Amino acid sequence: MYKYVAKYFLLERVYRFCNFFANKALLIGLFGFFIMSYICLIILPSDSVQSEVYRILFVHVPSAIMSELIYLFLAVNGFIYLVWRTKISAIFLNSAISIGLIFTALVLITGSIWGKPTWGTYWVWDARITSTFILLIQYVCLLALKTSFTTRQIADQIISILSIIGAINIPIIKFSVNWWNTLHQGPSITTSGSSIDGEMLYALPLMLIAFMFISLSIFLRNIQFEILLRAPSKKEIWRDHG
Amino acid sequence: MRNMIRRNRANKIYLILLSLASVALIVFFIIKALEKNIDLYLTPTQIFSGEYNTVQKFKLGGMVEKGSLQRVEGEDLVVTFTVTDFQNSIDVVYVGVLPNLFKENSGVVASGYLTEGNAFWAVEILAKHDENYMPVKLESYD
Repeated sequence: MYKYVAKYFLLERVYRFCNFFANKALLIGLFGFFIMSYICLIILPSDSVQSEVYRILFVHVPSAIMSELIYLFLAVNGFIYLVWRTKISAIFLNSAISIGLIFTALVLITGSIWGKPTWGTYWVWDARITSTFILLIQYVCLLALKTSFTTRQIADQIISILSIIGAINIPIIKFSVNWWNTLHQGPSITTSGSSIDGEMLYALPLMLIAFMFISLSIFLRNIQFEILLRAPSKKEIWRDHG
Repeated sequence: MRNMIRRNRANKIYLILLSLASVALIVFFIIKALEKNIDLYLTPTQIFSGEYNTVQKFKLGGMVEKGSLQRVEGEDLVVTFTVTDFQNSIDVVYVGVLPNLFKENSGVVASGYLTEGNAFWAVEILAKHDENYMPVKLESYD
C-alpha cells in the first residue's frame, strides 16, 4: 500500500499541488465567509433568548470545531510519522500547528466576548473553558518546540510525541460539559438531533466549510514553506518559484 | 529483513498505543482526584449532603424557581429568589445588578456564602443559558 500512496506525496508534486490550489482555496473561503457573514448578521432571525448576541455563535462554534479537528489531524500525522517515518506527515504536522493556534485563540476570544453580555463575565474557570485554555497552551508549546531544536528530525519526533499525548485533551473538551457542572451550556447538536432551530442551523456547517477553505489555503502555503525548509537543494523548486 | 522492519513497526505501534493508554490513565486518576474542584458550582442537593466545604465562599448553581423572584420594595437592587435542582432548593439574597439573561426558569450560578439559616448570600450572579436557539417569531406561537 505504501508503494501506491508514496508516489502522490513526492515533495515536488506536493509543492506544485499546493501552489496550484492555495490561492483558489483562499478565494473560495473568503467568498464563502463574506456571504455567510452577511447571512449570519443580517438575514438570520434573532434568537428568542439572547436576541442579537447569539450571532457570534457562527464564528465561535466553527472555530471550536476547527481547533479540535486540527489537533486530531496533528495527532494522526504524529502517529504516522513515528511509525512509518514519512517525511510528508512531519511536514503536515508542522504546517497545521499555527492554524490550530489561531482557531483556539479565536474560540477563546469570541467566547469571552459572548460571555460578557450573556453570562455576565468574560472568564470563569469552568471545565470547558479551562480545557480549551489548556489546548491553547498545547498549541503554543508545539509551536515553540518546533523551532527549539537544531536538528529537524528530533524536533519532528518530539512534537509528534507531544501531539499524540495531548490528544487526550480533545475528548475532555468535548465531554467537559457533560461530566462536570459548568457555566457553559451543554451541546446543542447531539446524535438525537439539534436544539438550534433549523432556520438558523443551516448557516453553521456552511460557515464551517468556509473556515475550512481559508485554513486549507494557509495550510497549503505552510506546506510549501516547510518543503523549502527541508529540501533547499531541490533545484527545480527554486528555479520555478525562486 | 522485510519481516524485521514490519515487526519493528508493529512494536512501535504497540509502544505508542500503550504509552497513550497509560497517560490517559494518569490523566483519568488526576481528574478523579480533583473531581470536587473541577465542578464550577455545587447544586443544592450537594450542599445539603454535607460532603462539600460550604464554610468558605463557594458557587451555587441551579435553576431559578418559577415565581420565586421578588424585589424588595423601596430597594431597587435587592432581589430574593430560590435556586433549585428539582430535589432541594435554597433561598438566595442578592444586592446588585443582574445579568441580562437572568430570569425565572433559567440557569444561574451564584457565588457567595451560606448563612446560618441555610439561605445563600450571593456576592456575584452569573446567568447560565441553555443550548436551545430559536427565532423570536416562532416563540410567540407557544
